[in-house]
Amino acid sequence: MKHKKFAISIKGGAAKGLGAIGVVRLFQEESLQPEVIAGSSAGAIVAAMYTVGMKWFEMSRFVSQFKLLKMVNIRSIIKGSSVIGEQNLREIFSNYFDPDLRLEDLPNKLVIFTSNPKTNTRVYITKGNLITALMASMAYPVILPSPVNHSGQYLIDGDLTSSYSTSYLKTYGVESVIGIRSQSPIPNLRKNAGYLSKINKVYGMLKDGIGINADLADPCDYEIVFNPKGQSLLNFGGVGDTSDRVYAQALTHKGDIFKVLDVSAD
Amino acid sequence: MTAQIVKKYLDLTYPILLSEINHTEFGTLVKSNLTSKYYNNFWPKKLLTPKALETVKSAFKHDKFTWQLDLGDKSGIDNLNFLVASGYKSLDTEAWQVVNTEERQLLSTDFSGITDINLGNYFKFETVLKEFFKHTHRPKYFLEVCKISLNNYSTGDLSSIIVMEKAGKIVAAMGFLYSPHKHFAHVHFILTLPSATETKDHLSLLKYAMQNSQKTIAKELLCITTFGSEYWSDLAALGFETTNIYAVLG
Repeated sequence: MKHKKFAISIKGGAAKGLGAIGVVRLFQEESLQPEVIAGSSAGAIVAAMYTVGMKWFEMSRFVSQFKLLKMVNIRSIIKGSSVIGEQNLREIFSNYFDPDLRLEDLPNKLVIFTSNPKTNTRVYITKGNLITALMASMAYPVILPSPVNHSGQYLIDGDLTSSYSTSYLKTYGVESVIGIRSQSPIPNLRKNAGYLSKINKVYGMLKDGIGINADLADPCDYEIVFNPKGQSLLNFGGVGDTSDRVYAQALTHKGDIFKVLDVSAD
Repeated sequence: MTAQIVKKYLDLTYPILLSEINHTEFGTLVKSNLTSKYYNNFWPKKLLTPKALETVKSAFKHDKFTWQLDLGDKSGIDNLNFLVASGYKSLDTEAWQVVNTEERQLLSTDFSGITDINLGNYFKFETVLKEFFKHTHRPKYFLEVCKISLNNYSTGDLSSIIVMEKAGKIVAAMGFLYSPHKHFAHVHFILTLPSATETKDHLSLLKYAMQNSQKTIAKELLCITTFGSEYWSDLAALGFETTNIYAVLG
C-alpha cells in the first residue's frame, strides 16, 4: 500500500487504554506502516509493543500477564512508595523486552510521552532504556512507582500532560498524525467509593481537562475514540476480548483513515 | 484445492524471502537468496520436455536449483521419471498438511515455556539460530530476513516467531506467517536443537501456531513436514490433512 507518512499517537487509560490494541490490529492488517509511533502511559506500552514488532494477538497475550495481585508489593506499600512494586513491574516487562533495549536501537521511531512535575511540562523520550522510559510514562502516583528517574529527570505519568503532541510528532517529517484514545465518560464520584477509586477519578478529571485544552490547541489530523465498554481499569485479562470489540469499532473508521492517509494500491 | 494452497503458499512465503518469481508456460520459477533447500525452485505445471528442461536451466544460469514435483497427479509422476532419467536425484519428499483452524476448538494447552519473539527479545531467537547453523555458518542472512519481517507490514503479511525454552535453555524456534486478507497461515520454519524432544516439541509449537491462527481468523494453516508416519498421525489428531506429497529433486 502507498500512503502518506504518518504517526500514531496513543493515549493511556490503564487496561481500558490497552483496548487500543484493537486499532493497531487494523493498521497491521491493512499494511499501514507508521513512521513514528508515540504514546503515553498504557498508550506507551501499546506503542512500544507495536514498534518492536509484536502482532496484536501477541500484545493481548503479553498484557494478560499483568496480574494485579502478583504486582502488589507489601514492602513498597509499607515504605509508602507505591502499591505496585518497581521490581515486580520490571520483571513483567523483562519477559518481553530485553532489559538492555534502548529506544535509539529500534528500527522505527518510538516516542514515549512523560511529564515533568517540576516544570509542569511534557517530556518526549526518544533515547535511553526502554523499560525505564515505559515506567516513567506510566508513573501514576501512589499506584505505580513514581517519580521515575530517566536520564537525570524525575518524571511521572505522561497522561498527566495529556495530548497527542501533533506539532512535535510532525517535526519527524510525517504529514499526518492519527490520535487514538479510549472514551472517558465523566466519572461518578460516589461518596462510599474506595480511596483508590476516588484518587483515580479525580486524577482522571484533571488530566482530561488538561488534554481537551491541549488537543484543541494542537489537534491531530484524525482521531479514533473507542469505547472500551465492559473493560475495567485493572482487569488486564479482559484486554483480549476488549481489543476484539475495539477492532470492530476501528473498522468503521477504515474508510476515513484511508482518505486521511491518501491510501492507494502499489 | 492443491493449486489454491500452492498459490497462497507462494504469495505468502516468497514476498519476504525471494528475489524473483516468474510464472512461465512451463511452471513457476522462484529465485531466492535464502540458504535452504527451497532456494531457487521450480514448480512445473505440466509435463516436462527436453526443451522445458533447457529453458529452466538457462533461467537459473549457473545457480543450483531444485524441482518441486506434485506426486498427486499423473504429470508429477511422469516428470519424476523424466527428471530421474535426466540425472536428477531425489533430495526429499514432503507432505503438505493443512488444518482448517476455524473448525477447531480453541486449544487449551499449557504453553508455558513458549515465548513470542519481537525485536526486544530477538537475542533468544539468535541463540537457537546460531546453534542450529553452527556447522554451516549461514545464519546471518536468515537472521536479517526474519528481523526485517517482524515489523514489516508493507507486504500485507504478518510474521511471527516463537521460541521454546526448557530448564532455562532455548531448544526450538518456529516461524509463522499469516496473511489477513488471504485468511491463510503457513508454518514457515521449525528449528529444533538436539536438546529438544523433537516430535513432542514440534507438536507444542504447532498447537501454539494453531491458537494464533484462531485468534487471527486464519481459516487454514499449512505445515510442510518431512517426517515419518508416526508424526503424521499426531498431526492428523490435531486436524491436519495431507493435501499432497511433493518430491524435491536437485
